[in-house]
Amino acid sequence: MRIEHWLYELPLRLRSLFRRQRVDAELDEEMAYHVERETEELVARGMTPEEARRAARRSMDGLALRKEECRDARGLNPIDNTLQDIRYGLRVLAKAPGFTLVAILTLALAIGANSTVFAVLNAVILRPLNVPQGETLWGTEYGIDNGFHSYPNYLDLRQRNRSFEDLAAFNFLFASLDAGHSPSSATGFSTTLNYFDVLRIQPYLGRFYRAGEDRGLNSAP
Amino acid sequence: MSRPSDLVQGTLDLLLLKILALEPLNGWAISQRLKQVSGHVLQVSDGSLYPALHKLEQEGWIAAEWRASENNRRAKFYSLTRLGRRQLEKETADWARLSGAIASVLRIEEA
Repeated sequence: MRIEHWLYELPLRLRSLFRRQRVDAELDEEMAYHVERETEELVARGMTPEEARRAARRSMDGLALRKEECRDARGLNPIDNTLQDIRYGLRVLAKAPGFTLVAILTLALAIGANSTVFAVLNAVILRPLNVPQGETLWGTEYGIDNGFHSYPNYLDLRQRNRSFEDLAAFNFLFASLDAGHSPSSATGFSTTLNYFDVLRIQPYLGRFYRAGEDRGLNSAP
Repeated sequence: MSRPSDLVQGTLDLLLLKILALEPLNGWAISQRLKQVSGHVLQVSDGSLYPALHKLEQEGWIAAEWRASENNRRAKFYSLTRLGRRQLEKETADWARLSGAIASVLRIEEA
């Protein structure tokens, strides 16, 4: 029952929405036909054409209102009213450029700040690390305040480890690079030999460390 | 939507469905037929006819089609759909029940 109802209603609604000029013109034509036909009828009954036309129009009591009611019946008015509201809103905004500018800037700043915060959050917290089996990676911290392990401590942990497949360590590194004329500073990580094995990643080109290339703490590769 | 004051609410729909069940008609012809069959007792303003027709079309009870009228001009003709026929049966039954109930109340003898 409901489906059959929509079979009729949906095409009508779409037509009202997208062919509205046509629909409006048809409504005009439909009512014009009525007035014309009624006029003829009244003339045939002995009225003067002028009287007849006036009486015919009167019998429709308010053509404009009736058309509005027909549009209501077709469910067009909510859409019309919304469009009208939007146009009115734009006009009001155009009349108060200062207010508009402040409002737009406020919105832009707020949206910008929000999306920046979210982008950072997304990259750092929400998105899993882009390594195979990232969900099995864990970080360990030593104590509460500092968090850093000493290298000997790492060696002990690794030796006695029974909970993890392997343990790798890294530290921040600030290095001076001097390739001739313009020395610059670089930030990096110093890592243990097994760092990339634990992360299970391979370089696209070339190689990472090879076994035996580490020579303990603070050694260069 | 405004309704003719001298018609019980909702009965205009029923009358329109019934008239269109007999034959497809254009709006003006429907108004003539209404006056004719009711012996001018039911005063439906011609204007209120059209919103009602458009509503019935929207409900899927009647379908509209443009064709040549009796005087060879383009007019919008309405006809009853299958859904409309079912609605007519339902509203006819409702009306019979309602008017029957009112009639039996009015038949009560005053003491």
